[in-house]
Amino acid sequence: MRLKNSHIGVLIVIVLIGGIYIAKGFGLWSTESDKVPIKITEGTGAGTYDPFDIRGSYSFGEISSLFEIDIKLLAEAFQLGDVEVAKDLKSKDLESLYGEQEGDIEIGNESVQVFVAIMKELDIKDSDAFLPMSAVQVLLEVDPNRSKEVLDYLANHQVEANVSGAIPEVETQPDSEGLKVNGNTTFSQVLDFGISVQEIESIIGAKMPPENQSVKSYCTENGLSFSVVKEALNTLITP
Amino acid sequence: MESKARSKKRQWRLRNWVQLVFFLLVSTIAVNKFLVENGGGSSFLSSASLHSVCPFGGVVSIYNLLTVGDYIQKIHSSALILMGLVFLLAVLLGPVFCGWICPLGTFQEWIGKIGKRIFKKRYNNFVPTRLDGYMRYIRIFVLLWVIYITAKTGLLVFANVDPYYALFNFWTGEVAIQALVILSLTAVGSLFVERPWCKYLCPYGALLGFTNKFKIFRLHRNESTCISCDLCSKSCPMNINVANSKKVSQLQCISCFECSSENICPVPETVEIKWGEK
Repeated sequence: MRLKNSHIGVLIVIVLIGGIYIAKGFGLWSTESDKVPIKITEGTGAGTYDPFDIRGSYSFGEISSLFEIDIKLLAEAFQLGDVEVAKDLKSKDLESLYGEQEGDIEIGNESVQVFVAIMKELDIKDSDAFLPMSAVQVLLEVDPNRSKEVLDYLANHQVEANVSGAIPEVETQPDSEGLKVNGNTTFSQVLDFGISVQEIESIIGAKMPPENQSVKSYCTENGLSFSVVKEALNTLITP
Repeated sequence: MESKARSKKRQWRLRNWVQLVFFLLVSTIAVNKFLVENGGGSSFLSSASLHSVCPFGGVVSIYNLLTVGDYIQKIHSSALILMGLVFLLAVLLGPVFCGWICPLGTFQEWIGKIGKRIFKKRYNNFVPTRLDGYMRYIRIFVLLWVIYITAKTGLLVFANVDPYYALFNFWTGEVAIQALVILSLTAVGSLFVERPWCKYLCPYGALLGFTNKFKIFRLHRNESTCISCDLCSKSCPMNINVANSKKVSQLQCISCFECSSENICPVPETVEIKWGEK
C-alpha cells in the first residue's frame, strides 16, 4: 500500500480534528482549569455544587453563575462596589482587599464558601471562617428565619470589617505573585521558598508528600483545610 | 532529469500549506489569549494558553498523573489528548508532527530559505559530519533532563527555555530571558543549518524520533530504479543519507517526505511511502 502527500494531509486532519471532536464529545477536552466545583454526594443538598470546593481563583461572576446567587448580593455582602467590577474579582482577592483584621481574623475565600453555603441553606460543616458584618446583614435580609445553628454561627463569626485595599484591576499570575503559597504551589516550590521538610511535616502533620504534588491537592486528598495549611506556610515565608 | 527535479523543487507543496495553516492557527490562539487577558480579543476564537495545546505538555505530565493524580501547573487534559493523537500519527507515519505541524519547525524552515539563498550548496553542510553525529544525541539528554526535572518539581520548567513558547509570546513580557536567547540562537542558527533546534535540542523530536523504528508507513528506496542522483539526500532537512538507505528508519527522520518521488526524486515509484514492505 502506497501513500501520497494528499493522503498524509488528510490523515493529519482526520486524526487531529476527529480526535479533538471525539474528546470534546466525551467531555474530556479542557484547555483551562476546571472551574466547576465538585457536587455534594450525600445528605443535605446532595447533587448540588459544594460551596466548600469554591477556589480562590473563582471570580464572583462565576460564583454567581454556578450557585445562582445574584451578583448584586455578593457585591453588597463583600463590599465590592460596582457589580461590573465585582464580577471579575476573584474570591482570593478578598484577602488583600480586607487586609489583616484584629485577632488574626481573615476575610477570604473561606468566608465566601461559608456565605454561599448559608445562602444555599447547605451544611456549613466545621468551618471557622469569619464574615464581614455586611455579609451577615445580607444573609439575614434574604432570610430572617435562619436556623438556630446558622444564627449561632453568624453571631460568633461576624466581624466589623471594611474593604481597606484598592480593588485590583488585573488578575495577577500565580507564578508572579512572589513567595506566596497559592492554589497551584507545589511542595517543591514551598521548599524553594526556604521552608524545611520538618516545618512542612509539622504543619501537615504527616510525612513529606511527593515534591511534585500541589499543596492544595494534598490537602484535598487528606481532609486538611487548604486555607489553614496555606496560612501556616505563608507565615513561615520570610519576605 | 535534473531540470525535472528543479521544477519540482519550486512547487509549493501540500506540506507547506499544512504548515502555514498550523502556524497561523497557533499564532491566532496566542494573540487572542493575549488580547482576551487585556480586555479585548474574540470570544469566537480559542483563547487557550499555548501550554494547553502543546502535546509535549502531556508527555511531561505523565509522571505527575501517575504519582499524584494531577496535571503539572498550566497543563490540562487537552495537552494529554493531543499527545495521544500525535503519538497515533507517529505510529502510522513517524514524526509527521515535526515535519508537517510544529510551528517552530516551520519557523526554522522559513528562515532556512534565506540561508539557502545566501549560502547555496554550502547551506546545511557547515557542521562536520562527525561532530554533527555526536551532537544529535544531545536532544535525548535534553528529553531525559526535562522529564526528570518536571517529575521532581511538578512545574513546567521547560517553559523557561522553550523557544516555541518564546516565539508565540515574546511580546507578552511573560517569557524568560533564556528562552528568548535560545529562540534568537535558533533563528540565527537556521540561517546556516536546517532546523537546528529540531536536530540537536528538541526533546519532543527526540521522543517522536523513536517511532521511526516501528512506524507502519515508511519510506522505501527502490534500488533497481534509483539513478543515484543523490537528490533525495540533498533535499533532506535532517541530512539523512537516503540515497544509501533501502528504507528510511533513522531516528532523525521528521517524516516530511521531501525526498519522495512525489516531491524531489525525479524517478517515479523510486522513493515511496509504503506499508508492509520489509
